[in-house]
Amino acid sequence: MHRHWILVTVAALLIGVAVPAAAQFELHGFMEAAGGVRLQQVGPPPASWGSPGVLPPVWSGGQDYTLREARLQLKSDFYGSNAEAHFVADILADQVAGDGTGIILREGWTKFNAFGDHLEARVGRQPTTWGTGDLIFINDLFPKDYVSFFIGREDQYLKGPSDAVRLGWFGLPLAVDLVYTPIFAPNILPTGERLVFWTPAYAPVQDPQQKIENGETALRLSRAIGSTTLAFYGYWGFWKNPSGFSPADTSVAGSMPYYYYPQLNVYGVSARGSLMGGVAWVEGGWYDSTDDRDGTDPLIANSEGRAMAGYERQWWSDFTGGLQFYWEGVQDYQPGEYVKDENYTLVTLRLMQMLRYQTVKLSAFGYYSPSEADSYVRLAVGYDYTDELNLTVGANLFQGDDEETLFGMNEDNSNAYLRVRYSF
Amino acid sequence: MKKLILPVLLVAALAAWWPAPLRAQAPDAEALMKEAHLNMYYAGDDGSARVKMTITDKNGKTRERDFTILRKDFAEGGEQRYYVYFYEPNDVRRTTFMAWKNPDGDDARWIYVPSLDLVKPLSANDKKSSFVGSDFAYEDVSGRHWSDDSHTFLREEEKGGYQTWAIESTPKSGDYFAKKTTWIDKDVRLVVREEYFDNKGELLKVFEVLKIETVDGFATALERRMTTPRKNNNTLIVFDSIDYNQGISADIFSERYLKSPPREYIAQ
Repeated sequence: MHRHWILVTVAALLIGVAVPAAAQFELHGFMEAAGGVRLQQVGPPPASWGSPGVLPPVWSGGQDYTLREARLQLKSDFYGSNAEAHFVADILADQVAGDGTGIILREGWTKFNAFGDHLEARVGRQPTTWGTGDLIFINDLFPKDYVSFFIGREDQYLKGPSDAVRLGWFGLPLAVDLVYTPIFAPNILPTGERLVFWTPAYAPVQDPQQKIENGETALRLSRAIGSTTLAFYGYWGFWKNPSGFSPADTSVAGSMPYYYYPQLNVYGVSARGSLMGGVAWVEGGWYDSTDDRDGTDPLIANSEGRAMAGYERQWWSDFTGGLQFYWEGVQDYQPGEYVKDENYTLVTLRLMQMLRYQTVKLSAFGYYSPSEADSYVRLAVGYDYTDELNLTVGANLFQGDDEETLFGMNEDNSNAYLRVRYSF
Repeated sequence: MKKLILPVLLVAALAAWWPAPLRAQAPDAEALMKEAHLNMYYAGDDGSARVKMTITDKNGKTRERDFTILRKDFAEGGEQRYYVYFYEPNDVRRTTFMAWKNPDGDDARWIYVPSLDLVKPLSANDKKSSFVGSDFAYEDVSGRHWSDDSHTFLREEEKGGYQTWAIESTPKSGDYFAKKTTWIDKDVRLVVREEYFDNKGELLKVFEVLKIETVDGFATALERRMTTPRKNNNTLIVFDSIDYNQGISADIFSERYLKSPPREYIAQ
């Protein structure tokens, strides 16, 4: 929590320097009430865990709500002659996960240019996204909040903000974007507080990486050729999901097993542009698992190749349909080494229709994995009663017989939700 | 025969001096449509405006959009680029949009969602999709290119307080409308009214210009309305703070500025 206040103080100082006192102050944002319920009973915890003692609330406390919260988001932008600053803060009353309640700074960053506008710097807590996929990420290793994604919070909550310094250099044949995150920020995954999950063993995630000397660096070099964008990526940091396991050291009294985030470097490339009246993209990345380069350690994820291709187009007025194919291939694969298959395949389908002058939005996004025989369908109907008042009803439907697969393990997390929002 | 020469010469001389509109020759409909299109949508080499849009539905309920639009022409009547920054509605505040218009092929469009820092290309094959939920289709914002239709001169008439030429257009290849009538003001040579009909002759939509003023030497349609009679819905666009020929750089119409709105053109 102290990180929070350091950041606020730094940002406030920057604004003080950057923005003249005469700057006008405007406050915008929204109020939202949201509720969501599980569509099926939670089954027993994974058999492989044995009897771990105290279980997380979803198994022990009969948590029926997946979402039950009220939120006030406040946004303000400040523009000075040489710099600008942006703030977004959520005041959240979360009835499901108690520690989510409070003030959450979502954005607090300042932007300024230097070197004749060649350099653009953004400093502070900010969302960062790159890559070409539609709800699939290969070279975008910025933190994601899959809990928010699975329970039906608005799309913006999929992106956990990064506390980062972001530098853009323009004017060269390739545009350069560099994002340095001093303190490693992992993805947010189900922990058993509101959503069930599966791991081979029941052990906590320890994140020794979350200290100042364990930062992340992400680089993107891009160039527009006509309306096609070509990009190269590099990432030096850690697996964003806990892909390493440290068993208890039997020689040390009280030693407990834990999961952690091994080191990872990623190198990739993407291209996206117009094709046959629609938009097409391809992206690939090499996940270099530097703590287990030769793939001999069964407790650390091996290196992987990842690739995808996608196409989206408007098939008729206000109707968009898109398709993606995605593949992951594990290097030095040893059968039975861990639960993952040597080749993982995924297909996604997006259908979106807007009606009544775009005040009604029907959307469906489906993931289906042929290799794991599981699926995840996101359905939503949004209605703008006015510009200010929006109602969204939706469902997150997971299916898969195998509790070890990505969507299969979430089967008991299938939920339906409703959100009412007033924007101002 | 010699007797006839004088009367023929006299008639010829008279015909030459006769006021032009009474001559049998009709104005060139295609040339007028081209001229009006260039005046409406290609004035100057670039332009910027603050735009307020009011969408009124059949129950009288209104929705507002407030944005700045920047335009740069790369060829007169040809390629153009547009940049839009939204102030309202509040849920899309700071969202930006960019379109590269290519009259000879598909356009390219991008939207930037600041809460996700997401640049998303939009497929742009369907030009009749609604622009931000209004009665204006994407095509209507930047104008339907004159070369997409065949034009026939209909008549001269007074229409909505303007002295106009009326021209009928039919799409060269199948489109969402079957026929369109355009009224062009004779004085400023802007389109002041358009009516679109389907193949049953039913009125699809009506475009009207409610106010024209000269800005930086260019006659400009400051208030425009698109009505969809079948849905009893209409959208009023009011242009404000218009500037032409500011030397807007081509760089502005790029991913960099999509993410970082150029403050010299965008109010705070």
